[in-house]
Amino acid sequence: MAFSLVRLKDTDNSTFAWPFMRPVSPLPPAAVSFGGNLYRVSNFGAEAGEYLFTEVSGPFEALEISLSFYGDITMPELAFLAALAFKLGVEPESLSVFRRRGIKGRKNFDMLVKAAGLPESVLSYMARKDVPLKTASLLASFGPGALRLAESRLVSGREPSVGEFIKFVNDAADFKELAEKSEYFPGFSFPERISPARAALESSLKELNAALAPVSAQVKDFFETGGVEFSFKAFSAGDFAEACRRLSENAPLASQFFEKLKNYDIR
Amino acid sequence: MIFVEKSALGLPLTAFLEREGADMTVIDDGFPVEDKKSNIVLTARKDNFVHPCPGTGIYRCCNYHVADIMQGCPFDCAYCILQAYLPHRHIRVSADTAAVREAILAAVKNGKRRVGTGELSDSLALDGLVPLSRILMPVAAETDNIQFEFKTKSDRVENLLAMRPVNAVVSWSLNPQEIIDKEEPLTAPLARRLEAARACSRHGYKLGFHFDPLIMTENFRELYSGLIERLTDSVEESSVEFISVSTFRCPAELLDCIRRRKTPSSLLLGDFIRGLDGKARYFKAVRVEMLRFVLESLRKRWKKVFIYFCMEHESLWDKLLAGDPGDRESFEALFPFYSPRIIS
Repeated sequence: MAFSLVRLKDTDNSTFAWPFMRPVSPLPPAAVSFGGNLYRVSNFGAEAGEYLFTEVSGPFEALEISLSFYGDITMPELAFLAALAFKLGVEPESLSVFRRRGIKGRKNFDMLVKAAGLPESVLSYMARKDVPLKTASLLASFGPGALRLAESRLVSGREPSVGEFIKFVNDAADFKELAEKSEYFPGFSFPERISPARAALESSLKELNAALAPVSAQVKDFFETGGVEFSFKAFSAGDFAEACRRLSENAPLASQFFEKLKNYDIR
Repeated sequence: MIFVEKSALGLPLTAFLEREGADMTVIDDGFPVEDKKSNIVLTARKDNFVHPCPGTGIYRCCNYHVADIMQGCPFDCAYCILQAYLPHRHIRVSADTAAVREAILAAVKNGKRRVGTGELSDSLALDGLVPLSRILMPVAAETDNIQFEFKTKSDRVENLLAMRPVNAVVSWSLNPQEIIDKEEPLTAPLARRLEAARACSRHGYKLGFHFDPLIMTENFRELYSGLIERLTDSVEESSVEFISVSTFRCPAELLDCIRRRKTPSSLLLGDFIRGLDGKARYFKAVRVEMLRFVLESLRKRWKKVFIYFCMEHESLWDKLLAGDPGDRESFEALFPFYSPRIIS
């Protein structure tokens, strides 16, 4: 695509303003023309006299050109872009950025469009962190109370890591009714979902495990098979011999371990 | 609204619906109809109609075979795997029912097999609009090698009641009404399912019931004992061919679909582990508690009916039923269809 550097006036500065909180570039902004109108497509914060200009066939090409002036596209930008594409009658799936990111299907684009309407603080977090599409789409599905709670989680106290925020959003979706009517405060958390049986079993096993030291017992396969892995670390032959001696001495404890698993229907 | 893709014009199901006076709109192949559950599209798809239920070897699978004619369901169950599995909400139906017939008969050519349509759709929910039961029942009647299952959460049994039952079982997925209200939107209420079951039984159909998925709630025992009481008061044990029991489990991506739903769901509040097949399942002790309670409650009232677990670990079979059923073929052989038993 060939551009020429030209002075332009009466350029439409809003239609293609999909980038989110981008720093101003020292380069001149780009502008395109189609349907008898001029549109700025990049570097929206810059004062502009001269533009890198080219003619395009329509909004699809204009969006591709706009995209070519930016590197990494953030989640809010993807959302704004999807919304803009629909508005301009462009099928978002046809845009190269979505193809590259593997985003397809009407459901995903509808979710992205909803995400474009999230509060500024949430969008800003998503722009800085690598928040996955599914978390953005969950946020977009929230009622006003749950969304306010998620927003408060971002702005109150220490900023959460992405992992913490994903878990918080998942929990808020799981406990919809609670999230909708809760106010966030430092230390706020959603209820535990550990069943009483699991809590009691894990507590008993922890006690037995402490008595087995230096051998450690770990129930494998998420308790599905009832298999237990006994292990120890040795830094010398003496360590090894000591662990073996303890293993032998603690055989009754191992029996208790398996008995507990049986009592809780794991075996 | 029923749409017909051009390539499906003249195919048996399209012709059948035309004769019935169905209101249909012809569209180009691939035309994007509005993606909603009330839209039905007849297509010319003709591949892979009958295949084994996609179980795993880790959890015990009964070797059920699925006749995949309709893809999509008008019901909106919170736990439905179709939310994650199908890329569309509208319902697509293969109009090439001659090819379906061939595929079904080929699947049972060399031996007995249980086949049904209730996996990628509800077998009867749309039977008033697209009466597949009237096409499939005669196919089932062609060979005694088949036991054809119509699995439903509806009460649409009018067509079945107008036919002679041959080699067919009609089965209902059951949950307590409180759970139906919350997790199974648009399905028939429990009372209407049970009435439909009783009508089918009186008409001579064998019945099946699926306590699947069992969903853990604070009042689990109260809810499910009430359900079992209502079931056993509604139909005779002797008319019941089988009962499956299994707890809620799902791939992780389905949990995300459930989270995105507007209404709160009890499904998300469970104590889940990552099962050996990668699916989320209730912690084993919780599963045992649920399965044991339902089994014992059923056995108090029905002593002989064949009960099995769908996709459960062999250790639970050992603990709660008659022992590990083994691989698909061994498990399958336990069904009354293969080993008929006299139930008085």
